[in-house]
Amino acid sequence: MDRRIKILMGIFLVFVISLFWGIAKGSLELSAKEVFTAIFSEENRVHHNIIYNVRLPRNLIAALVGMNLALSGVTLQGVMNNPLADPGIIGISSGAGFVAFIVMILFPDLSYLVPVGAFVGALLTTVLIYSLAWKNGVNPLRLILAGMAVSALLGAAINFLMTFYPDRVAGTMSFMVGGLSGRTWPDFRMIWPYSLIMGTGCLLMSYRMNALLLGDEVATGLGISVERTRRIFIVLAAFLAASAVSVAGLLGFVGLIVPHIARILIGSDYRYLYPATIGLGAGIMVLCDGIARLLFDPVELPVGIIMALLGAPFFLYLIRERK
Amino acid sequence: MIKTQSMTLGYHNKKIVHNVDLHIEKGKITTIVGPNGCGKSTVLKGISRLLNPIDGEVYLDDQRIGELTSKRIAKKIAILPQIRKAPEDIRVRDLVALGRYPHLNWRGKLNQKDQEMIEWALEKTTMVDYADRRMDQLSGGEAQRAWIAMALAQKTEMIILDEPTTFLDLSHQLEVLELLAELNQKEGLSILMVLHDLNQAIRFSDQIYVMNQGRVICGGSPDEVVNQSILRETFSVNADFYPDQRHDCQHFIAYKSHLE
Repeated sequence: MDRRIKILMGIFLVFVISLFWGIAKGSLELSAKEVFTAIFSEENRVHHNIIYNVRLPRNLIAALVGMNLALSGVTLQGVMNNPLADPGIIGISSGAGFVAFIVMILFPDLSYLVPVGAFVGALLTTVLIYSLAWKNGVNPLRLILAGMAVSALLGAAINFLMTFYPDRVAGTMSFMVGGLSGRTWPDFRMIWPYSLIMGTGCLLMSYRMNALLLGDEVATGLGISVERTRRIFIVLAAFLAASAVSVAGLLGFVGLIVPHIARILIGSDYRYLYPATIGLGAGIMVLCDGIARLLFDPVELPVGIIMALLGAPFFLYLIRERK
Repeated sequence: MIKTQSMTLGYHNKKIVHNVDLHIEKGKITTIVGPNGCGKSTVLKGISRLLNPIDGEVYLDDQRIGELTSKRIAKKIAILPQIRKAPEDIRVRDLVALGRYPHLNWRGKLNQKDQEMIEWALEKTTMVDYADRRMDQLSGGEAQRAWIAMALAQKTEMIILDEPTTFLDLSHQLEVLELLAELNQKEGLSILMVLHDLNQAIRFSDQIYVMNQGRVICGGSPDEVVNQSILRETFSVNADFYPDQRHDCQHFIAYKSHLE
């Protein structure tokens, strides 16, 4: 059997195990059997409530958020042909952050609009950056530079707000760092359609991405319309990241590092890299969220902190081990 | 097979190539030569739809190339540009397989015929033994053969190559050119390329176009085109010609000084 299929099976096995672990672990410790009964029956009200209404949706959301951000990152790294690309590069973080900040600071009563606002802000910023970079087509470098400039502008606006409303800044912390505290079924409903549709889109386009990686001219010679393909990939990446950010806040790192871990494990053939990124993004996120919940129980840490704390050293270890 | 009619090319309204008329015949090796910056690579880009003409037309088999879909052109013309990159861990076989891209359906599965074409391309380029190597483990000459194999797997009537010998040592240069000549003779593949070395152009081409300052100066068979006055006017060198009996053509040795 192909070595890469084995690695993929390993990745998804780890993901499934971490999902069970995440659902079973918490202040209420249950056996595997009790967890299953709690999911499917309401016999034990307390168990059902904790498992079915709290832990199950939260862990599923963690999985989808991790998957979406990682998929978005790996797509952008391919399309921009730049290993440093992540969802931030097309303005997802700055756009979502900007709108979320305006809502949280200027209209705190409307804070239930933060997820929708972040989603719309992220997509609009992507459109803005894409149009600014357009000049007989979009060249990746120009897109990256336009993204940096727009992000700097929106960052300045955020800092401006922070200066004038210092008392309200504390409330924005959890959004800025990224966390999944208190997320449940309604949040899950907001994200899963994007994971499903855009994720399938990525998988269907994986071979086209392989051709695109050979450079614009070679790809054109193979009959690909490069400009349109690039646009489709950017749309996929934008929806994936925007839906994740609207649910979990500005989680950095996942979109940048998980694709690299996947690439180190399985190589750069997107037919394998995409599924590996899905499994790793979901698995790593579920694990980190579990640790964030349990480490200082009952105090919860934002998962973004754990992610960086564990992920960065592990990533450094990987790049030093290779080559 | 390909005709251009007063094709004018450029970037951002700055014209680089003016009113180029080329006629590239089926089954022949056609080479464009000219000094640095004369626009020869730009002409290749115009012909291979990498650059849209500002003015004029490009015809592929009497059809305007702008009216054909990119995929249809890809089934007739393979191109090997200078700017290209391969992920360092891609295997030669996987790179060559991507040459089948224009023939695949939306599911992107390689069928029996695709596999046969890939094997054929690997054999033709003597890359069978290297098929499972990673691209970053190949030498410059091997990598070039792998790219040519990819273009071959596309199974087109014509291949367009932009300076296929650049960065190769002499032995690898000849290896590549002799491979192209063999493909032309045995498989009837039409070849259009840009070469720097005029003597190589003379030896390997059926037809040569000379360009200078964005215009085509002349075109025809090597003996018609490459002579002392062209070399002086276009390339600013003097030259003495010597017969090459082995390849039945005239080669020259150039010199820069004006002492006779």
